[in-house]
Amino acid sequence: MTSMIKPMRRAMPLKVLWALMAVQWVLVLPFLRYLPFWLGLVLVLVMAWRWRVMHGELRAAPFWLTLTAIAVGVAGLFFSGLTRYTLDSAVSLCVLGYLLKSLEVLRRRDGVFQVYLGYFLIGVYLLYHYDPLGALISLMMVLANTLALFAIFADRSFDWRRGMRQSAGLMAAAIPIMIVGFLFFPRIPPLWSIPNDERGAQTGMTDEVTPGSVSSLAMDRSPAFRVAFEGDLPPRHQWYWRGSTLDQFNGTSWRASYRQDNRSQWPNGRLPEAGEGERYHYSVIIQASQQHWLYFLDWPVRIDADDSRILPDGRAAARNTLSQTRRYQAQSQSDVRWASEPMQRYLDLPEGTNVRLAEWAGQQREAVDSDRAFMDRLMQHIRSEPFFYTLRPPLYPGNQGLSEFWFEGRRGFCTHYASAMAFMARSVGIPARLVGGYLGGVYNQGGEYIQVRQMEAHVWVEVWLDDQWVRYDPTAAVAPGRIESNLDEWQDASNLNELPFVTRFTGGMPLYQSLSLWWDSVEYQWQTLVLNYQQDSALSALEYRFGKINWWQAGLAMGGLMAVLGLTMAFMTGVLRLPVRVKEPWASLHHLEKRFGKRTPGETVSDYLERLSKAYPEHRDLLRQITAIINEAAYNPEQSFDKAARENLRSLVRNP
Amino acid sequence: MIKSLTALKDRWIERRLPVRRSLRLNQSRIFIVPTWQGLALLLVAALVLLLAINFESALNYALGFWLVAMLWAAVHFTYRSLSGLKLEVRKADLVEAGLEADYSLILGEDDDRYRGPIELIHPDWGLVSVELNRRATTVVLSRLLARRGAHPLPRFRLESRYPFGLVVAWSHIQLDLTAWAYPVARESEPTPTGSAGDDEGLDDQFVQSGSEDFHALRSYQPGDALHRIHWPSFARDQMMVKSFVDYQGRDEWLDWQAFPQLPDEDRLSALAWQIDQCIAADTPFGLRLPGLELPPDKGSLHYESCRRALAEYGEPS
Repeated sequence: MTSMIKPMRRAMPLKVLWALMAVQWVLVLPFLRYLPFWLGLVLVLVMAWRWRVMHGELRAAPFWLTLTAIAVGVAGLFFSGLTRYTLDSAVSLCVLGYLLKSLEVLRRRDGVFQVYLGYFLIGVYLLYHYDPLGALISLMMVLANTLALFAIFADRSFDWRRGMRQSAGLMAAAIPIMIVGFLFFPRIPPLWSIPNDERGAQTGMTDEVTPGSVSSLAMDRSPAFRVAFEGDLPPRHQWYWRGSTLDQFNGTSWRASYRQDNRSQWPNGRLPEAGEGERYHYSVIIQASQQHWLYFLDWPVRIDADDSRILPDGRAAARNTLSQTRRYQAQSQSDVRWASEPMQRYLDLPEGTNVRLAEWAGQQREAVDSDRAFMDRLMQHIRSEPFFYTLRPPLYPGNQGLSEFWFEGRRGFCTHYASAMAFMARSVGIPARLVGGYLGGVYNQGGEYIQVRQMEAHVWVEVWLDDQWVRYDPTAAVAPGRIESNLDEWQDASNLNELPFVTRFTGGMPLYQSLSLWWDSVEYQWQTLVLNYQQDSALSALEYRFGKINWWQAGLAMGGLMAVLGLTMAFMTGVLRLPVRVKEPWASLHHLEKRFGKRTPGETVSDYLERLSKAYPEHRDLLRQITAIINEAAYNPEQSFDKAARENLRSLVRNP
Repeated sequence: MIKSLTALKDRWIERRLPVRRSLRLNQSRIFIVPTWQGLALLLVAALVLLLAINFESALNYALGFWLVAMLWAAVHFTYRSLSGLKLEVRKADLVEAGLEADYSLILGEDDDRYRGPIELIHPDWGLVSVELNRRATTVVLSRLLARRGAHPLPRFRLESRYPFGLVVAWSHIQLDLTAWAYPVARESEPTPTGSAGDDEGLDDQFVQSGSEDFHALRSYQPGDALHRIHWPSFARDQMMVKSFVDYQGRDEWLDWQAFPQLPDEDRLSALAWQIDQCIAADTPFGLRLPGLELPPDKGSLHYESCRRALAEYGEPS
């Protein structure tokens, strides 16, 4: 008598262990790029042990090995500074657990545990990667994981090809229900807030700008956000996307009043009122920037963005970190009426900084009769004097840096010009601030949207003239082409050698450019259709068609759908078969048997019909005819049993 | 209470799944539920959905529902591996009580679908796993037969978790297949019966044809062995064949009545011992049981039917 081992406690055969190890690699590899190197160390340790297990040592890892692996892992966590409770460290911990678990994968239960942990890990991976490529990679991971699950239960009969077929089949069969769930499951707001929900590096405008510091954004071709307009596009030279204002100057750098770190103190502001002129309606899909800033065309008069706060400087910011792509809508106008506010903070200047520049600005102010004329004179000065726009300016350190730039260097990019100009405006008593954001963008013909890349980052000046904030962009004066074209195009036309090599090289290739535009529109579609899918859109489309849907109707619809899908699947897998129609002449014979009783075993058709004609003499002729046809059909089917004969037989049998 | 419930369940199953020599599994015979592992997948899906909700991650919604839908789809896949499976009895052994008997079944049909490993479970043999790969496969279930008599194949459980272990499909199978155990041989002296004094004139009598002693010549019939042809007659243009007979003594009848002092089971044991003795001595024998008489003979078929008769004695047929 054999005792029975419970299914989950059975040991797995060698080839299943192989499959599980392969799948573990598939799942960990996509993470390796982002995880600290010490996790690689743990991986090597674990894999070495599994290798031993598969070469004969079929037992769980000894205590010292487990302890070493845990020690390396935890020490690694500490040394790489992931001690804070953040998402990144939680993920590292997750992967560490996944690796450590596999030290003891011997029985089915352990294998299933590995697979399920793997599914969760894929979910974690999706928090970081939601672009089409990431989705594709996680699709592969799900397939591999399902294959591992198959391997565990196919046991000794495991076969890679059959496993692939079955796993892919299961996933394909599950797609309809998955889509329905995705479309109609209510999108619930987060159940609790995640502390330190930062995934990857921050990108976009910073809260502080120092003119001397080198702009690293200029090298970055990755998209910041995409804007789709309803109706006409604004003219190209108005593509100023405002993100934040910088109003505190300390002599060397500009700092924002509303920063990411003082989020709790942000006031509730009002947007400027709409004035005359055309109003632009648009929606923005912003990439996960790990910041809070949302970007708007100058100047927004209406903003529809969930979970955000409108700030007094004509924009809104997200309350939570932008760790996912996000969509919002807004309306902008180029002519707006600003509410008045205390101006003192736009005039503050530290004592003793850039003295020479302040003196020079005073002289210029005296030469003209209005503030506006003064600003125009500054622009004219930049235009006429030999100022240069360059991404590799000399350094202008210290609190006299702006004077040095203005009088000696005369080489710089947007931040230099903008801070010098704002400084001069303040020094003569005109309220001024810097605006950080983006300028320009690439219009994607296929997708009908504007893609704004990180390299389009820009800083300009707003001054308070005649109770309005007025935009002055000194870059327009020093490099007029920059306003009408993007940085890379403009660089191509003027001096080529300042952009990084790759940009220069690929910029000249039409195929590459059209491919990258195409890929960008794919990503855009992905973001609008999948990532920012609004649940009410599907539901409201349904309700528009069928009227209000209540819960039992929804349940009924779901049940019906599952039944239909189930039947379809049953047919496709061969579980259900449609009854096959019996061919003539046997169908007619069955018909007769149903009426007059079955043939006895061993009785030939002729005998049977003979017996019947004796029992029912009134049908004798008919039965004789039938006998003849059936005999012909049975023994000479090709020649005499044609369609006419079939019809004849059928009519004889069915209308006696 | 529990006992009566179990009995109720047994009766229900018996009514629903009656005993037959062959059967095909269909929706009225297959039961299917998610395993604990399948429910655990729902838990994983719930965790993934929690990720989706808390991090507002659209793709995690998709992943979560995919996992749930995979559990749903797995029901069909596992059902498929049992549905339409044909079981047919082949044969069962006749063994001495206290030994293991084999029950042979034929599972599946040629040209059928791949069904993965299928498990046949009963406490008597534990677990027998068989991989059905598009071929009718013979499965042998071994089972200890503790006592003499009939041992029908008990109702056993046939289950499959293939291909993903998320659901388990099973059926209770009862097939009309009986193994028999003949009594353990035990030596007992037969009591001389009244018929011992009968004088039938001859000490020996021959029975039927045999191979022991030359008896007579008879004419050739097609099929007679070459070495039995009587060649001297062939020289005289006659095809004659030597025929032989076996002789057997008076004690060729193994008789139920010979052990009046013993209870029934012991009588059967004694007869089994006598059969063993006869087989060892290679003498033909007959068997008399109440209501049954097997004429004297030898050979494995005869031995088997005698032993079968001992096994069947008193058993409901």
